[in-house]
Amino acid sequence: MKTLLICPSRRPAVPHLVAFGPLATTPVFGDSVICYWIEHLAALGAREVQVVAPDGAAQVRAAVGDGARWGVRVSVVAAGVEPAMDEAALQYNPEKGPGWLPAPHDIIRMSHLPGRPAMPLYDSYASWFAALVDWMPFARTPSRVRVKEEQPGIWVGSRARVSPMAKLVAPCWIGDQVFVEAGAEVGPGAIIEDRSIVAGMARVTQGWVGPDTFVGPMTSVANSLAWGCTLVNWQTDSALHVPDPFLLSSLTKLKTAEATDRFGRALAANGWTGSHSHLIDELHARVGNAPG
Amino acid sequence: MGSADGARRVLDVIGSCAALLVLSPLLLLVGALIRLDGGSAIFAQIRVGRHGREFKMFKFRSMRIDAEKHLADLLAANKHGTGVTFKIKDDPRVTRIGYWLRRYSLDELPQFYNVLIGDMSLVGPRPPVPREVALYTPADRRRLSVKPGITCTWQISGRAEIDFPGQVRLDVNYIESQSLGGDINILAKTPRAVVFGPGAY
Amino acid sequence: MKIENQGECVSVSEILELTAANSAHFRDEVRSALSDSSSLIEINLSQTRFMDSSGLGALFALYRATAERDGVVLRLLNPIPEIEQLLELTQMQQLFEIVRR
Repeated sequence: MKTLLICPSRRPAVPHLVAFGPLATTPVFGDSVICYWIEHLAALGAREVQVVAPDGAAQVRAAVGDGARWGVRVSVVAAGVEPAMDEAALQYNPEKGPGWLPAPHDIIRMSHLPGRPAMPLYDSYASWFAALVDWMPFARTPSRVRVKEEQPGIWVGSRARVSPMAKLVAPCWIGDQVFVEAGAEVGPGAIIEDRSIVAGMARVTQGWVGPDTFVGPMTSVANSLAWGCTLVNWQTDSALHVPDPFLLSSLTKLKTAEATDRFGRALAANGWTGSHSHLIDELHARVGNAPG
Repeated sequence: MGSADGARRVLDVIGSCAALLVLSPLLLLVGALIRLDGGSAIFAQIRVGRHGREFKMFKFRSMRIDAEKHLADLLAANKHGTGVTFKIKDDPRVTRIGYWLRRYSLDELPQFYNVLIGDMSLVGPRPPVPREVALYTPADRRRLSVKPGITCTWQISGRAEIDFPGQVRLDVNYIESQSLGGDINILAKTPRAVVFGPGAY
Repeated sequence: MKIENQGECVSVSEILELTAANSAHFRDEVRSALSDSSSLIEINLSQTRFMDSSGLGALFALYRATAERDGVVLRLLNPIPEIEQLLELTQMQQLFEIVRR
């Protein structure tokens, strides 16, 4: 059974999300938007998924491969523009052939997550965040491993390390290999993507923290999307490039022991004397060095 | 970036290199014995690895050259009723030397090469064949979320005696709690289970 | 940067940035402009495009200076949205009176 999946082109209401590449590949609860769709379509009986990518076809291809992950055949085709539903129908399935999934699953525009048409992803940053919080209970798909609902509304990755002195408030999601220090407060309405660190005394409420992101000690990410050093307030649409790494920064930049040590000194210089050594040990471990 | 995955890869490379070096006299001997018996020493089978990616898994050949032709006849004699896995006792297609290779799992030794090139890991769920994976439900596919391994938990607890749902359960348990320390523990227990294990047919 | 001392109010404006380059100078100038009759420091941030932790540190130093003198209000005027985000991120928006005019 065949189906057509149309990726979104860039959306003017959420310009900063393209920092992750084409919108179809934005990381959401540790997996990309398009991957949730393909798993959903495979469960509906699709054996062949044709993907139309008006933006970043190469990256979309890298994200889905050949579909072996779901046991379906996936092919990604680049397109100049994002086709409308009827255009796509005309171009790809004019005869409404029998080999296709029945409508409305024959042609899908990925403007929302599977089964959640009332939660548009790209109307605004606020709608993006609302759609994510809405998706939280569904992110743990049947083929998902390494995340458990530890308490109602609190999902924690099995390789995450959350200090017993940290406070988690439902609904919240702690991703794979995330480190949450003592005194941190995560939730309500908090999503921490894979490998990020929430330092001591930091707070994330009604906020999304992207992957590989350092949320510095005593900071507050509220009503905002934070990734690397970018901070977008989803209520006001204001976007800030945070100048100081010890406040908010990308962990992928800390690739060497020297960079980690410099970072540690910056933390100390800015008065952070809390569980400082644990944090630095954690950073060093990620770089692949023994604790200094 | 996943430093957990990085550390595993390092363990895999070091372990497989060490194993290949230490076992090289044995590997050469076994290869020579099979060739003397007639036919090629190494046999490549398509198996399914991480995220459904198919790869060539290497083993010492323990079956007659024309073994695949007998396959259809033998499917009827499948011991596990669930229709997904397939092993039968006293497989008549096995060669003389093949019987001993399998008894002590020496036929699996070339998989250290698969570990070295990154298809497999030292520890992980056993890699299924494509025919089996084609019947998987989404929940079964959880087994494919990590690299398959040369040894795994159900090898040290009871090997092929466990039915398919049991294998999936053990594999998922392993995947959920996978750690470097846990893997080293499994590696330490494996040689004994391989030599003395009851379900290795 | 322009500082005007109008009796009870010290008014600072035309601040293009508050970064490592000028924060110490800003802090010292404003602090020395304070007199016993000051009851209000108004910092016009409408033109301030960039601020970093040095700038925050300078504002915090002024906050401490006013806290030591009872009854002196520290007011930030018209910060641009990005600056407001930075204040919220560091939870410093609680320390100041933020006003839009």
